[in-house]
Amino acid sequence: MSGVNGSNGKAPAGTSAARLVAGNLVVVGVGGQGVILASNLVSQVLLDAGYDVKKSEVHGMSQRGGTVVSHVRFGPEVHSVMVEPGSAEWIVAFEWEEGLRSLSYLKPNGVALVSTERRIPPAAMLDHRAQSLEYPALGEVPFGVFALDTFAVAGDAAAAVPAIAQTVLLGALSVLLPFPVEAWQAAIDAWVPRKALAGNLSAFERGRALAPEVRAAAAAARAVAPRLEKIAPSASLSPAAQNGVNPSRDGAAERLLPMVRIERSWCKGCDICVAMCPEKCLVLDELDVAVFARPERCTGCQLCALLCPDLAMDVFRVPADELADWLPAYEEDRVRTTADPR
Amino acid sequence: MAETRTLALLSGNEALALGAYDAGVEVATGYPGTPSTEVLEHLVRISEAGEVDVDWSTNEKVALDVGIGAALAGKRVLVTMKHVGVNVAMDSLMTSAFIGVKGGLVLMTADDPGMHSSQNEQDNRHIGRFAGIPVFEPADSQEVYDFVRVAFEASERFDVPCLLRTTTRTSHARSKVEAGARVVRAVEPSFTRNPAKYVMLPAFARERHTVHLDRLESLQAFVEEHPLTVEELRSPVLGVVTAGISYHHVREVLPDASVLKLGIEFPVPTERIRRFAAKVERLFVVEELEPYLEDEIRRIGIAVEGKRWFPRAGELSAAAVRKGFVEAGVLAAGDGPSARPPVPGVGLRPPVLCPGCPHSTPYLALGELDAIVSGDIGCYTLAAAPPLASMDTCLAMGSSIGIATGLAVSGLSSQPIVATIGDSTFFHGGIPALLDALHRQANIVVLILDNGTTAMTGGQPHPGIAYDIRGRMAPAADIAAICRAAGVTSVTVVDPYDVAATRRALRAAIAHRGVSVVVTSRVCVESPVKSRGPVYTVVSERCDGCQACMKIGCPAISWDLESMLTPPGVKIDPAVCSGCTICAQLCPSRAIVSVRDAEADAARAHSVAAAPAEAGSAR
Repeated sequence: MSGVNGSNGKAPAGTSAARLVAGNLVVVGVGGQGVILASNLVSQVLLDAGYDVKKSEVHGMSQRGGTVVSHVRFGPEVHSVMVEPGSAEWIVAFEWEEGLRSLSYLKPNGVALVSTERRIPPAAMLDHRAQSLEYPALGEVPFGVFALDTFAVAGDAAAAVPAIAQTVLLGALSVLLPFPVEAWQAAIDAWVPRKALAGNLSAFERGRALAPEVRAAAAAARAVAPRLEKIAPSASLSPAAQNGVNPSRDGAAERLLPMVRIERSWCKGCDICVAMCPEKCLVLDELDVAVFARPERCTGCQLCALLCPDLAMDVFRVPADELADWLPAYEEDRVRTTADPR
Repeated sequence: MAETRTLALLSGNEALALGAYDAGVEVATGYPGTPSTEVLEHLVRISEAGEVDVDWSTNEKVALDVGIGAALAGKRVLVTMKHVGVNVAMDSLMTSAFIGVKGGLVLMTADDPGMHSSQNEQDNRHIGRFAGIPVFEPADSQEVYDFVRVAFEASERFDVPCLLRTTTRTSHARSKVEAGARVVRAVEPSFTRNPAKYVMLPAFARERHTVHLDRLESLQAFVEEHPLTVEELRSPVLGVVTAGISYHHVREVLPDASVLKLGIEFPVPTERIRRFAAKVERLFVVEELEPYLEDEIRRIGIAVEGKRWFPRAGELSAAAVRKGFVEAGVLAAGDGPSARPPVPGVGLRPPVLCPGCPHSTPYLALGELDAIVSGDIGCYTLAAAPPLASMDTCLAMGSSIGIATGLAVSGLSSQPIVATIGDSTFFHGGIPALLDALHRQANIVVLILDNGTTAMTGGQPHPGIAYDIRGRMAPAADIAAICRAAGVTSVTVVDPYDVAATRRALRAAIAHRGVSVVVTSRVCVESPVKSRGPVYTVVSERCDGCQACMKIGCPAISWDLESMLTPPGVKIDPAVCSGCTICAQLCPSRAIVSVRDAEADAARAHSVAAAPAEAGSAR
């Protein structure tokens, strides 16, 4: 239905604009990254090229560090303001996880230009005990994704304002759309704040300079940018991940669980460990002696042992299936205190 | 001939502001609420202070009352609010059709199907019908611009307020707008005494009810032939009745179907529908949320299909409309694009409190105190999500204090009961509830989170702020003084960036019997200006990985997955950190220090390391 053009390897020129009938673009990122500004800018280019354009995004609550999705549709006459899943020719993603999330919008032969910038949300790090990170690894690049280390490409252009790095993606997008570079520069000039103008124009040019790679990616509808290999080693997220510190969620069987042993005769009930435990694992029993009451919440941080003025506490790790043997019979206290730990 | 000018892409809200301005609006008011907020903000940008009196009201009911007053003085008035805001204005709205207007009054209700930023997704077309006032529903920015002008004219012609309903996708989508010439009204304000029309004593109201019912009949005749309702005849097989944004979904999915697009949905143009229905074999109605038109069409005895195929909950999309028509047998199953499956490992990214948000400390403290927390509407509602997870109820604007009072008078005493409410919400609906709690001597703590703005909607001024929507000086109400004047004997004002003081204040307030108030006073980190202090960093050698700072849910703090600690230590993203110091105060190991201190420490360590050599040479 809507013709995709610009992936033919020819230099973009104003004359070929007539061949692009209609299209759908989705710009995604995290609140505060400039997604809406970027989509306004692209819309300006499309509007100036004579298309009917509709653009839609949700703001309000999602600005608070949440996902931001901006839909841009253009053609002779556009009806619906939202891009249907599976119908975007192009995706521009300012953040890695959001890029992968947005792939449901991508056409089978579409291209997603995705920054490898990672904004790991607090919600991905809620499991303080197992430290299992809910975030997709950088290593695997799905079909149709052109992954780009935007910070590396932008270099010093983004030194002052980090957000400028993502303008590299607009430069890359401009390669795939048949509009003259002047139209893009004019739109950047119209939408970007004065003090960030030079940096944005420079980042745009650097993205545009990736034309051969971007075109190849679009032609193959599949890409692994050369730059990605450079970041791939750290893409496995951490060396710690390999030695069991950050086990994947399915490798939990071998896990060592933290255990807090309390020498009851040394404890004078000063309450320091109870007050300071970040996970509220400890309580005082009826004899005013500290009890390891919520072992299921303990992260093994050793803060209690470090703070205990009487050196009555000892934190170490035991195999998961042996933890029960280590836990003394404080069952009564546990029942009494585990009502609803916050 | 009027000049026309094509403007760049305008959002529906911007088009509404421009449409009202070009229609000669002279007074505009409302209460902020997504997705309605940008209308008044844009109106301020495009108008001069002398042309249009624009300002926020304390709540939606006050806004509508202000609007009715200005309309009675002969002005054209725009009142804006979100769908649930209309509930607050209902008392005035229901009788407003009785007393009527003089200058035109358009009430914008911005509905939020799909609840992108709302607590429910009520369909306010029902409110228009309930109040007996015309309901206009545009489908895109151009129509918003055009419809608001028609709505002003209809309001004056029929002496009745008009409801203009948008949805999130009309308010926040951008499309081309061709604007007409501006009408300059310059009406001298005047008020003519007319108690029989303006004073709704029962005797007068009975008379006005009859007038109201007669008006409904003339409105019916008006909508039946109105050009805002458009009949597009294409296929004789399939006809769709639709309105608003749903029209575009239908055109997208079924370009060949005949369509009757309603521009005015109350009164429903039943004769128009009857004529359209006779021209097609199979009649559908596609509408978001409630089967409002569907019920109306059934009522006049016409067979129609609607909610049987299309969802009643949530936002419609071309995909949802396509799915409905596939199930109805109109489209083949393979039609339309197919989406690839989700990529594994992609987690949730819910909205969070900003780095440095002054609301995080009080909720941290409440979590430690194991309180029952009745929350309210604002950014701080996000404290219901982990890791703060310190909110137990949230219902509607201002409800926190009443719900806490109810919990307290029911005899719950094992846990402290705390109502938490923002400053703008306190002014909006909290004050009557505070008086109620005092009168009942309820044993509750009212925690007022005063960040000096209406933050959730982007930072609008309210009665406690010393400036108005145009940035001019305005008198500011003092929250603590209001509480004291109401009779609260325990009022504490505390800086939420002082973690220990916040904890102490809350503990003392809980110990106090009866109503006590704690005001956490610290201006929003994002509004009116972004506040940024020296950023903080983690001295990794000192970090125990205890996760105490991870309890804040600060977007700047994440696990340092390169660290060898078990559990891992943390790191702070300097580009995101606001320098609020909250995490540094929570850190039991003093591992979180300002970058400046860290650099000074490093320099000192360097000089100490170098010292023996120097000492040696001196000896």
